[in-house]
Amino acid sequence: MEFKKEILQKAADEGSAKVAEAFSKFSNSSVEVSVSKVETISLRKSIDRIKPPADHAVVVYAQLLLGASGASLLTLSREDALVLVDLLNQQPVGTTGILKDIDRSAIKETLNILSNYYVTALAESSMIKLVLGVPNMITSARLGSILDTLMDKLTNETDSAVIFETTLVITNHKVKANLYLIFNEKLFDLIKE
Amino acid sequence: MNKDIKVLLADDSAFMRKVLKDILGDAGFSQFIECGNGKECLEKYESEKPELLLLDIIMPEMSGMEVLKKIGFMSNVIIISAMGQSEMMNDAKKYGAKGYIVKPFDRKKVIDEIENVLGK
Repeated sequence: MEFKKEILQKAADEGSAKVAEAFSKFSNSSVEVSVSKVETISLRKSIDRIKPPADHAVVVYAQLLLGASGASLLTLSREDALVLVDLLNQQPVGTTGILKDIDRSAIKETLNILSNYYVTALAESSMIKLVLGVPNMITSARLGSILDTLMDKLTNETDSAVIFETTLVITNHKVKANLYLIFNEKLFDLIKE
Repeated sequence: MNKDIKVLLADDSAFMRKVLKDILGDAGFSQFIECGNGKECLEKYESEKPELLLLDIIMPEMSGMEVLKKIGFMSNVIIISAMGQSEMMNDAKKYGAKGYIVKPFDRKKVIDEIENVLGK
């Protein structure tokens, strides 16, 4: 599935506007989008781009099930995840000390809600049905290991990927989350191998 | 609106089920049945006979859309989903959903939609 550049840009613009509003409503806080871009870059570069920063220990991902091959990814630090859980539960920041099952469920749902705003914008712009699967949580170490293996398997350096990159900041608590949507036909074949 | 009814909450996210229970509980509902996948949803629907079903689309085992295809026209179903694509909304309507709420939830919108389905 190839997307035209103007459709990608339209989806990025619409998605980033709505995602901030949705995250703000969901977290009961003021949210800013500090980075929002869509690019078509080499698959190698895109894999490198989605590698979580060293402090982003919490990683949630979901795979596209229909319409295109791709995935969405949300990364944030453990400390920010704890604050986010408190905000989502409308309780004082500092209440949550460890992530329980229901807290992980809240973070997974955050990815589901946020990435679906981009997916919806892209689906409506390109007149296709895109369906994102159930979100899962993995450690950043596990993701890093998967991505390193992928890098080793890459043989065709001309393969490209579309990547939506968004950094969201809950302003009054300095919570920072990175959200990615990445589209590439071969990515999941490589993961399955 | 009669609030003394059984409400089945079908969402794989325990957190979203909690949020819905809070919203509905504040509005006066008190009888909740929960499930986290489509297969379980059909089982609970048969055994508990709820008057209202709030149904997520993307769930493990069986999707909400598959559930809707089986029981959509026999029950009061409101879709609760992060997917706001118009094609998805049209499909839901086609298979019998009486309402569609896009996440994150707006408390008023949730209650308004339930009122639309159950009557004031």
